[in-house]
Amino acid sequence: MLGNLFKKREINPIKHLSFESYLKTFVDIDSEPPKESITVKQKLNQIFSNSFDFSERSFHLPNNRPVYICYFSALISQPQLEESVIKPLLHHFDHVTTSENLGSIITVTKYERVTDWNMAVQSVLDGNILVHIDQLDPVIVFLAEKLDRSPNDPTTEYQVYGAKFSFIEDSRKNVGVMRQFIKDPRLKSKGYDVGVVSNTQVAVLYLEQYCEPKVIQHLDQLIKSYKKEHLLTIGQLTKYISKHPNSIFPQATMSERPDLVAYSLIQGKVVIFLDNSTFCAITPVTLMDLLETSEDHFFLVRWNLLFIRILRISSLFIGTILPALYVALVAFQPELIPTTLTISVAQSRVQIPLPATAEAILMMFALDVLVEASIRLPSFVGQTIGIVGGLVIGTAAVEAGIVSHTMVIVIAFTAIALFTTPSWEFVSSWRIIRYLLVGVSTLLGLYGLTLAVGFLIVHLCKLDSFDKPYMYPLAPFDKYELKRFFLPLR
Amino acid sequence: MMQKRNVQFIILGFFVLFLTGCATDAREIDQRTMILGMGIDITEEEEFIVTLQVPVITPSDGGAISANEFETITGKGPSLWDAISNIEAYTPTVLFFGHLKAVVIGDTLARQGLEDVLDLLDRRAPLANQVYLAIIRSQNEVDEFLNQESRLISLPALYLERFFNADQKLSRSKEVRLFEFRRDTNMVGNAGTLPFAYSDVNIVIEDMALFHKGKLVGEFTGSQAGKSELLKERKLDNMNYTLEIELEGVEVTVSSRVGTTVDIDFEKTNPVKLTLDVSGKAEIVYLSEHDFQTSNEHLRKIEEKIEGKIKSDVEDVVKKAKDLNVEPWLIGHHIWATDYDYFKTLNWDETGWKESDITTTVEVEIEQTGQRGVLEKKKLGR
Repeated sequence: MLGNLFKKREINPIKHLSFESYLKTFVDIDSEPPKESITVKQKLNQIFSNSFDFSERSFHLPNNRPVYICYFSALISQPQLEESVIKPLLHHFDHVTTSENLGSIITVTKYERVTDWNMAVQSVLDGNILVHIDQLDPVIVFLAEKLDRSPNDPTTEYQVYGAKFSFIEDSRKNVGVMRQFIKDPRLKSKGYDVGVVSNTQVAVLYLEQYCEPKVIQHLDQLIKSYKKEHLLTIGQLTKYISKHPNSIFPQATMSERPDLVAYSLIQGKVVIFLDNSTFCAITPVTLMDLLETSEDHFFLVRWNLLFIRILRISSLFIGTILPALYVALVAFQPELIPTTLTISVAQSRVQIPLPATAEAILMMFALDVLVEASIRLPSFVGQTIGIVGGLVIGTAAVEAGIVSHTMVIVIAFTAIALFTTPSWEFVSSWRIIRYLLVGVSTLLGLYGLTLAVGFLIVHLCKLDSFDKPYMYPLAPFDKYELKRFFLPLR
Repeated sequence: MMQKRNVQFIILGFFVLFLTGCATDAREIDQRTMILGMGIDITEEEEFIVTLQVPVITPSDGGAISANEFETITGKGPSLWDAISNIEAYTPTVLFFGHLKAVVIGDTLARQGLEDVLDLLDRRAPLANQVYLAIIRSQNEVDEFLNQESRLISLPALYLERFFNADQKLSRSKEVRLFEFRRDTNMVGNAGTLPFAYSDVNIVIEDMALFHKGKLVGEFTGSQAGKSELLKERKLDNMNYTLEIELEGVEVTVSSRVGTTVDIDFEKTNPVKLTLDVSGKAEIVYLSEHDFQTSNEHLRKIEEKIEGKIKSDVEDVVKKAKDLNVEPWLIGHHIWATDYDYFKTLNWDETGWKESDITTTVEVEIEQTGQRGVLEKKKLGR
C-alpha cells in the first residue's frame, strides 16, 4: 500500500562551503588527533579562531604532565568541570596512565575517547569538553549544559480545559515530556543530526505497533536525505517531507501541546521534534485531524463535542464560501436572494461606488492586513491595532460610503467563522482559497463558484499525507470512523 | 506525456471559460430595476396597458432599513411586449423580473381572454412561473390597485405574496400560481380559477374568478369559493360556520371550524352518475350559552346542522358551475384519465357535465368541543 511513497530529489550543499571542507583546510578530518597536547591546542585554536567564547585552560599536573582543556564557556557547567574533572585530575595524577583508566579518576557520567578530528570539533560545538593529557589520547567529557527554560503555558494554542504546559526548545527534553504522558516501552524515538552547518538535533517519536512501520521507514530515509546547510525551523523539515509541497493544504500539523501530541501518538501518528523549536510536527494528518483539538476529549457530554465539530465544519464552509457566494448572488443571480433581503442589500449598496467584487476584495485584504499586523506586535499594541482597525473598517468605511453594511457583516462573519478552525496553518490555506473563490465568482457567478468548489473537492480527494487519504473518512467513506469523529465512544 | 496533459488541461480550461452563459449577465443589484408587481389591462382601443410596481431604493440610514416606498410606471402599446418595452424607456436601469411576485390582470382583459398574456408570461425565461395571479375587480383600475398603499404592507405585490404565503385560515380565496393556472386550463375541462382582488381603503382578496377557455365567465363568491376549493383539491381545512340551533328549548348560536375531505366517484352511465362523499372533522369554537354542557345528543344535532349546510353549499356551487357549463375541478379529467373510451361517449364539453347526475353525501364528526373549562375530574379525599 505504501509502495508508491514518493522520492525526494537530494539537494547537495555547495561543496566548498561544507563543514568538512572548512575543517580540511586545517586538519585531516578522518585521522586521529596527535598525542601531543600542544599540537592539538594549536589546531583547535586555528579552527576556532575569532571566537571569543571559545575557552581553554592549560595546566601541568604535579608530575609536570601538560593538560589541555577546551570548551565553549556558555555551553558547559563550569563548577562541574572544576569538581568532576580538574580536581580529581590534580589529586590522582599518578593513576593517569592511559585514556581508558581516566574513568576511574574523573567523576562524570560519560566520556569518550576521540577517534578523529571531526568528532573532536563536533563534540566541542555540542557543548562538551575536550580534555587532553599529554601523550594520551584526547577524550570528550560530556558535561554540556544547554541553555533552556522550564515549560510555560502554551502561548498560541489556548484551551479552556487542556494542560497548561507546552514544549520547550530542547528536543530531548520534549521527548522526555512525552515519556511522562505515555509510559510504554513501545514509545520509540529516533535521533538525527540534520543540516550540514546547523547540525540540528531532530527526534522522531512514534508508538510501535500503532504506527505504520513503512511510514517510519520512509520518514527515516527522507530525514537522512536532507542535505541542506541548515535546518532551523520545523517548517523547513515539514515542507521537505511533504509529498505535495505545492499543494495549498498542509500535510502535517504543528503543535506546542504535549496532550495533543500524546493523543496523536496513540492515533498512530509520527511526531517530529526539532532543537530550538517549541513546536513539533505531527504527520500524517487528514482534513478531519486539522479540525480536532486535544481539548475536544475533555468534554464530559459527548453531544457537546458533536455540536463543536459540526460548528467547526460549517464555519469552515461559511468562512471560505460566504464572500464568493455574496458576490455571485449580488452580481449574477439576485433572483435567488429573498425579496426583502434583496431590497435591503440594494438599499445598502445604492451609493457605493465600487462593484461588489472590489468591495469584497478590499475588505478581505484590509482584514488580512489587520490580522498580519497584530500577530507580531506586543499584545498592548496589538489590541490598539484591533480597535483602530475595527473602527476604521467597520464604521468609518461604511460612513464614508466605501463599503456597504451588508459587506461588513459578510466579511466580519467570514473572518470570525474561519478562526474557529484550530490549526492556524490550515486557516491560512482557506484564507487564500477565499480570494480565489471570489475571483471565480466575479467572472462566472454561481456557475463558477460551483465549478471551483468542485475542483477543490477533487484536489482534496487526490491529496494524501504519507499515503493516508486527506479526506478520510469522507473519501474513502468509512461510516464507523466518521461516527467516531462526531460521536466518540464513551 | 506531460506536454499532452498540459494541452488537455488548457483545452479544458478554455471550455470552462467559454461555455458560460452567465458571464454577460453580470449586473449588480443596483443596476437593475427590480419589479415586484405587474398589472396588465386593455383599453377600449384594444391597447395593452402595463403597470409595473418598482420599489424605490433609497440609501439605508445607519443600518436601519427605511420603509419601502414604491413607484408605479405605466406604459401602453399595441401588444403586451411593446407596452413593456416602452416602460424600459422610463427607467434608468434594466428591468429585472427575477423578483416579480404577482401579476394582476384587469377585469376587462380577463373577460376578453388571457391567452396572449399567459403566453408571454410563460415564454419569458427570467419570469418565474411561480408568480401569483389575481384578477382585479372592475371597480378598480389595475394601476390604481398597484398604487394602493396598504396600511399593513406598503407594496401591494408583497401584500399578495404574504397573504397567500401565510395560508390564510379563511377559505374565501385560494392562491393560484402561473404554472397552476396553465396546468388547469390545459386539462380536458379547459377551466381554471383565479382569485379576485380589489382595493377600497384596504386591499381585499376574496372570491374566485372562473375561467373557461381563457375567458372570465363567472365567479364563485363567499363560501362558494371555499367549496370550489374543496372540490378542486379534494380537501379543505378551516371552513367556518356559524349556525343557529335549538338545544333543549334554548336558541343557541354555534360557531364551528370544519376541515373536510371529499371523495369523488363515478358510475359509468350516460349521463354520468357522480357521488361526492364529503367527510369532515369539526371543532366548536364558540357557543352562545357559555355554561351549556354539551352532550352527545347536542353534538349530533350540531353535526346534522353542519352536514346540511355543507351539503347545500356544495350543491349550490355545483349548480352554478353546471349552469355555466364549466367544470374547473378536474372531475372530467379524472374520468378521461381513468376510462378514455367511456369519456368519449359523454360529450363532456357540450352536455356531459351539464347533464351529469350528482349525489352529495356529507358526514361530519365533532372532534373537539372546546370545553376546557368543564371539570370532569372528581375530587379525591377531603
